[in-house]
Amino acid sequence: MLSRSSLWAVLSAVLLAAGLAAQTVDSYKRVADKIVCQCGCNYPLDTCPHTDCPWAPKIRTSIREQVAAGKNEQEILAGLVAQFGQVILAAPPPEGFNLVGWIMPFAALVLGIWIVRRIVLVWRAHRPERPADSALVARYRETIEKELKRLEEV
Amino acid sequence: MELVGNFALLLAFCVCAYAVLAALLAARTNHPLLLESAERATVAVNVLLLVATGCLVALLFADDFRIAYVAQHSNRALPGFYKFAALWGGQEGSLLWWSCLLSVFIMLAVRLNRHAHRHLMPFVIAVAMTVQLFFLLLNNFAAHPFQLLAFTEGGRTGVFAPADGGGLNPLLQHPVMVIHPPMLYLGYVGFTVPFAFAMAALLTRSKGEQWIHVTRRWTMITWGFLTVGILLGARWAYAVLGWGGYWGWDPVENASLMPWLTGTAFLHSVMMQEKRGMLKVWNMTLIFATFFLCIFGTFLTRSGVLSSVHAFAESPIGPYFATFIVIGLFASTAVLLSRLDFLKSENQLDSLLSRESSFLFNNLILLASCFAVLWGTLFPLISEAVRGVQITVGAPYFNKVNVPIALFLLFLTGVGPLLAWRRTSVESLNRNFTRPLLVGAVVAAVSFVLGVRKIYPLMTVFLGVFVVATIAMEFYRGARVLRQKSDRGWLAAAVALTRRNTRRYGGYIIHFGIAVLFIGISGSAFSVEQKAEMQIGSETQVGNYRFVCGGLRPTDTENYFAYRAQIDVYDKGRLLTTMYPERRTYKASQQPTTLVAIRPRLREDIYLVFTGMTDDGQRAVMQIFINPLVTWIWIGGFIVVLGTLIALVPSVPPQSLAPQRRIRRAAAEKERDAVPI
Repeated sequence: MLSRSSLWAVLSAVLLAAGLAAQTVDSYKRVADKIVCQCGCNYPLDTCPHTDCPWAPKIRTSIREQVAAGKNEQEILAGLVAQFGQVILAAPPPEGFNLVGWIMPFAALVLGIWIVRRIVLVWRAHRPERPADSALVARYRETIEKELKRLEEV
Repeated sequence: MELVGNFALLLAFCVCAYAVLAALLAARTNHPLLLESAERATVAVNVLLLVATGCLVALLFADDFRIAYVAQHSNRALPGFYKFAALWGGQEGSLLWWSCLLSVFIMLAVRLNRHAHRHLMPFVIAVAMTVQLFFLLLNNFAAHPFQLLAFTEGGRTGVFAPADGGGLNPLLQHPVMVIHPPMLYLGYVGFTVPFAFAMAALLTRSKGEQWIHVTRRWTMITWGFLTVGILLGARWAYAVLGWGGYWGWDPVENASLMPWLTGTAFLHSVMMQEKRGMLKVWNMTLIFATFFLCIFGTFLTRSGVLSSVHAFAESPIGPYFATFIVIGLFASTAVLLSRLDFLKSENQLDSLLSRESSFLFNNLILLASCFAVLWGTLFPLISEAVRGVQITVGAPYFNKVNVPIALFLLFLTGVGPLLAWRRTSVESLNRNFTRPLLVGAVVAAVSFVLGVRKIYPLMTVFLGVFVVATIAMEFYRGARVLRQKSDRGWLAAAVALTRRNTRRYGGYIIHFGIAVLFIGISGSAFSVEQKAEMQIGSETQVGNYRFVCGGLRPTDTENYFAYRAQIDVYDKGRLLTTMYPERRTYKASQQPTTLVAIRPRLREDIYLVFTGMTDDGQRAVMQIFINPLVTWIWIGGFIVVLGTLIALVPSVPPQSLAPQRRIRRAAAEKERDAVPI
């Protein structure tokens, strides 16, 4: 019969092991999600649609081994980039020239907003200066009210 | 048979060149017989291309492996409908199919408009047939579908016929692939017609919005085909690729999305020109951009420029496309610039709170989204050209850049249609938006309480419900007025309302579908995935479901052999369904592939992939996904298509409805009178 302290120790060890296993899976997933398969499919490592892919299984095994060996996410990614180049990353790291890639769509959006604002200002300036005929507006309002009242009565 | 096909293709090229010349001469001389001859030439090209396409299909069905295309993309055991699908399974066939569909579109456009818009016809034919000529040039000289397999031995050249073909790519052997490419091609090809009419309107300096009235329906139909094509592509990716998703931001997918975005912008901004005579230059620019993005997308995906940046020079069709796009862009820009004076708009904006300004922002957001996709797709090429460093721009980039833009677009989808033309008062704004905003906020709060904590899905739910509520209120208000005027029920009143203005209410239904689709997409943030090694009798738990392996059977057919797993799925202890994921190896190509098993549910899909066997060959490796809300993406797609079809039906003015109402009222009165007291 296990003593209470032994029971706690076993339980703690099981929980710790489960936690470590979960962390290992998470670390693997975090790295795998940032890697693109190089078989030509252009899909993330874990989603390569080719069942006979010559590349993905090897890299998956390599990542799992490195995670098990205690390497962190950054170290594994740096190692893979050193081996295969930046092309292996699913998105270019936001540094140097790659910043152009990240910033450009938002810069274009800001430029677009500025252009639309200019257009709106110019078009608003084209508004006719003449104020609306107040008698005409009053007559229209009266007609609308009548129509609405008639509609309510139907 | 291949001689007939060859001859038809070559003759089509000559007749097409004649049509261009005859149309240009007709434009210059106003000679009616020349114009009629050019019109008939469009029919002749269509017939010849149907013959050429028919020949290739016949060769595929006859297993004539002397033809290189047939040998590469078909095999004897390939089922009949996949032999037909092999027509677009390879480059040469798909370009021939493109040409054939284009000829059908051009012929129909010319036949339907030749009397009503006679003065535009010479230029419409000249422009459209120039595009056709380009594709016939590819069919005849760059990607010939009837090439024979030849060999040279001892100075003697002969024709070689292998015993069997290499077979169709296994990924393409799926029912959706029989319908997806034709739909997408119809979408791509169809934009040639509005482009040709726009160019004709510019060249002839036609007054008014005639070209828009002529081409609006064409653009709607084409946009509808493109929408269906894109959705079927997503469905194919979901059902075949086996990674649990439906959109991977692959260059091929991006190529189809870009013209869809500009086409959508055009369909909105064109209303500004119809109602207010504004944005004339912009609409021309948008239709040009949409057309050239269709061609550019084909160039990107067909030239190999993106799958390998070094393949450009090796690809025979890349330079043809590049030349066509450069010349086309230069010519259309030159024509547009030379006609700027004629495109002078009546631009004036009464208020910032107006339909006009919402359309401006809608166009801005759609174009920004298109630019983000284009930029991300091309950035690897730019990076390599500038720094000599190869990079990849994949899903993480596109998701980060496009999701915020898409959410803003969803917001405008709800706001835009409820703003009045010219000016919207603050009271009207309050009246129209307070309740939908409240409903959206309540549903988002409930989602938060139920555990949705990610910001983008929460915002999608809030905005999606807001859009649905605004549309529901629009239908409710209109239907209420009709009900007050007649004895209709709510549904009948809503139908009558829609029939009175199909374009407006069809548009609302499209917006409703888009909101549903967005809500479906937001579910992907909560997908659960687990890998399990299973043998007969073993079980695994994923989410609320328990999966039990009931069997593992080999199957052998003429076309492939397969391992088929039987997985019983239990939900809270009750057998929900039995699923059969497969792993196939196609005999002709010796390529393995998986056949995903999907159990769709409104709440979530159960998605099983048989990825292979363990090294000892004893256990099946299953990838199990629980994908929330995916079914709503397809439901949203159906609603979009339904809305498009409704918008295409001509509206019935209220006067035409009156007699029916009178008849119904009279019948009701008669019935009432007949009741014994």
